[in-house]
Amino acid sequence: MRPRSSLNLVLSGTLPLALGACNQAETPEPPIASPVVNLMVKSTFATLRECAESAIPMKVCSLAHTNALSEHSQNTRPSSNETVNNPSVLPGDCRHPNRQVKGFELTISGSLSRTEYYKIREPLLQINAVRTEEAVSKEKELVLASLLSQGQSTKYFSHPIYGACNNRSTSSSPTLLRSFTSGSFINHSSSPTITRGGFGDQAKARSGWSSSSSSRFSFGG
Amino acid sequence: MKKIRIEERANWQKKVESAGFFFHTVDGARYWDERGFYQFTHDQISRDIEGPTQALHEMSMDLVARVVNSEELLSRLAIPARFHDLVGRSWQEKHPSLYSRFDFIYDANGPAKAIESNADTPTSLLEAAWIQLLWLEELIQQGKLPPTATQYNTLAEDLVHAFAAFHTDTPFYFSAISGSIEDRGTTDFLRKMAGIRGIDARHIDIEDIGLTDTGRFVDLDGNSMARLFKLHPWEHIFHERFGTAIPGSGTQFVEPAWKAILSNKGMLPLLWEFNKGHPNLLPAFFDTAPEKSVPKGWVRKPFFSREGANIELRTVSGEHVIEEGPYTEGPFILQEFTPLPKFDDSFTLIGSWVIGDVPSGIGIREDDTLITKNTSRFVPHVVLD
Repeated sequence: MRPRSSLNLVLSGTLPLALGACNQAETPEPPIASPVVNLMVKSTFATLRECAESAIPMKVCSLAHTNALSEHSQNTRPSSNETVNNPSVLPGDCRHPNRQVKGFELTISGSLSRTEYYKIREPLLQINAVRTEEAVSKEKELVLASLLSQGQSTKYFSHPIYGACNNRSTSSSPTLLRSFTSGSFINHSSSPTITRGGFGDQAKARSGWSSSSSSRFSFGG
Repeated sequence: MKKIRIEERANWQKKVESAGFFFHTVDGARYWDERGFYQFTHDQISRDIEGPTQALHEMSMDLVARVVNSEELLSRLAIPARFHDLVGRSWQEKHPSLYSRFDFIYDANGPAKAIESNADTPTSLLEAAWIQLLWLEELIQQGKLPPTATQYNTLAEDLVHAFAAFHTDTPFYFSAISGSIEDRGTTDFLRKMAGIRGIDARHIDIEDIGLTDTGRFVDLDGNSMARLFKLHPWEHIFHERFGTAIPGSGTQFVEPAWKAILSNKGMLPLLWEFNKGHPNLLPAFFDTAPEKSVPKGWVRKPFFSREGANIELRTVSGEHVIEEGPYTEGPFILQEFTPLPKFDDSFTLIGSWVIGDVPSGIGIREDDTLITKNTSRFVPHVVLD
């Protein structure tokens, strides 16, 4: 057994080892190089009514819902699915064409100016150096409101959500977000080149389980 | 090995918080518990913990080498076929690993038995590497422990050494799920160790990682990320939208994709199959009848489960213990049941760390039940002959 680590080694680190003080690297400072931040907010709804009762305009909800149902009906077309005649693919299997729709996911993406974005983030970071779920939720709400007020520059995507399925080897959700075009608020400009939120979904899906404090949940082991 | 009761330090909460440890109490219950400590002899550590940890690490590396060359075994471990190349290439190209942890059943009356391998996203690192070390130094300073008392704990210096495998020319990003204080505690400690090596170590919430239309992963300012530590399981990534972008992204992931083999409980039956009868292993098999109740004397575990969730066991006498959780999907394994030893009223588990390829220290967890979970108490240890 080797001698234990020296306290001085850890204390010599330049990074303060306290969460409240470790945000130096991400302290929001409006950078000079890029004037905008591309953002994406995802929301899931079980029903159209649930969406309409949120902060999202009814017109957007309605189109998102229609688009998701249309995508679902495409998914269920027998000719489009090679598994339809496969007796080993049972209902509940991710590959089954008639999986039950549990709702729809609406993704709203767009750009905010750096100044606007940091105006949203800075007070939240000051209140909570550690990003609690509450802070994340508040941030999402404020970003969503800003994106919705952007009009032409905001894009909307939706797809159906299916119930849990048994086969882990096949993704249970579509991997490609499909945009829909309708009305004047859909802009197909090619400006957003960065998408976010593509990591973490699976963890979030499990985070509601623990009965312990929400800030203590972990995806480690 | 024995447990010794001791008075906790006055203001211990403030002391551990000043060291960056904010999840010492969970819903009013202690997670960090310094009302006692475990004492080991040097021999017990060297012979029964350190040696077996090295042996298990070597067996694990051998197992990865076998699995990456077998489509059948990769599929048996439920690694999606579209990621087989990524996993295989990360091994062939020797993508470095930082850390992993084996969980042992041990009471000094026989060989330690490994019941888990946490090779992809192990946590409890901050408290094992740093908080218990500070506790020990203070107790020695106060004369409550003799100057000859020490710890099996070279985690910090071994991490600094392990970070030498990474260049210092571009930033190294450390990501964890937003809002998890525990995961953030782990990544912040790692950032600090990387910083000692001269690495520009930056935090990013995993949800904030961006993907450009040219397939590069970027930070919030649009900067490419050459290296990314992700405290996020590979089995989740395989089913997330950005997962398929990884092979062409140019980003080096830490832990590397080959850890998907070792963080998977399906590795336990394979480890047993390749090393049958090894004194530090328990018999384990793929569960071919998960719909049936767990046989007496066995434990059922899903391939993908964390922190004791969805573990079900039946003792030899028939006592049935189950821990609910979100990891309800199979496949499952069956592992022979061996009870955790009981000290006072607590069941005790030893987590034995490997940093790089080096056995580096232990952290001890206690629970009131036979299953160790995320709320199980962390108790410091001392090595003293």
